Amino acid sequence: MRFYISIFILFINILYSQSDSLKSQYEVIYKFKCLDDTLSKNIASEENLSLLIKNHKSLFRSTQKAKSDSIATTIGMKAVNNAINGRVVVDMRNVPGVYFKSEVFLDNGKQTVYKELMRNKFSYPLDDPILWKIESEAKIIESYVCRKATGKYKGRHYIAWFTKSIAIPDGPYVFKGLPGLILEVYDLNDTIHFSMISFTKTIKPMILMKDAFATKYSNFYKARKDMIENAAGMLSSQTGITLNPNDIMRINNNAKRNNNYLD
Amino acid sequence: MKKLFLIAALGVAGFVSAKNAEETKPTKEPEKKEIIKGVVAEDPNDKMQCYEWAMYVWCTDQFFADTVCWGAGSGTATHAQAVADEIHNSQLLTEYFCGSGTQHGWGTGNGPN
Repeated sequence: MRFYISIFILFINILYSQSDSLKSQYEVIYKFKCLDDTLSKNIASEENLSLLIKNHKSLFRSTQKAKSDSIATTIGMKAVNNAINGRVVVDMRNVPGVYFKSEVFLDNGKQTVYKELMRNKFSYPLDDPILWKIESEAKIIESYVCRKATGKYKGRHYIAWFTKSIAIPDGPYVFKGLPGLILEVYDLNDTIHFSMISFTKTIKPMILMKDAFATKYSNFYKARKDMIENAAGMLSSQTGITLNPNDIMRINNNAKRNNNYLD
Repeated sequence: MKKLFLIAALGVAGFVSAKNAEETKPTKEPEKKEIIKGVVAEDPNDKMQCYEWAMYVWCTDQFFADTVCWGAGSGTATHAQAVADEIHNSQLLTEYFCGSGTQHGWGTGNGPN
């Protein structure tokens, strides 16, 4: 009888330990720099992004988004508490911008990309991971000896610098799968650039984007294309706000200025 | 008896395991809608209440009015959910009119990605 009770307790312990929320062992912070409009070379967005790693799993996302949402909630709740005759006035100008809204979850070699289009959230499996070619060139980044690798992803050529000193085959966004951590990666025209700021032992919860609609990349691509074509229409339908012709023109023109999407 | 105990242990273990696996799956939209309807239906006596919400867009100096409701018949279950929805709407309007936040407007050097 004791034997069976031991087995029972062992099963419960193992399974409850597995059901605990996933927490990181390491965190890599990358600086992300992107030219939103490749025709205006001076306009660049910058943001810090986080790669949380636990064994063969990792989560890559913006560090700014949670802060931004928290500030927006604080502003919104303050406006609600200060409502006059049931009328709430809210101004979001002081909410920090979030430019990098994509997230990538790596689970034992399989990557899932999460994207946001206004209120809609999508997730799709990465079907075409980068096939890297390791080159002979080397350089030092933050005291780490790095090797060069080149690869192609969604029609763009990328250069990555990875170090075998950190034997984690991971990196920012979908740039993974080299025999060491990627410390820097950029496209040939340098319109998209990730560079490591820090690598630390950090325990943080790894929480996936919620309520994402699981689909294929092609469906997401079409949804984004539709959004770019008619951003004002989508904004109006998702918020319920009626827009006048000038507003529609402004929003549609703004949406089309961004021509450097990281797929 | 011992066999029954072992079967029960495996059953509980399987249930816990399946529950955990379910939590990590990406949620599909149709399922989400059903859940929201279910929550609303649980509070049939909750009366509908509304706010007038004015969203200020700083870069064009415009106010956009909206009515935010929650409770029975509104389609939004709770006050917190209604406020969260409207905060998100305000963020989206600011982002698509001006870029994201102060000094991040279109033409200032930063736009939404």
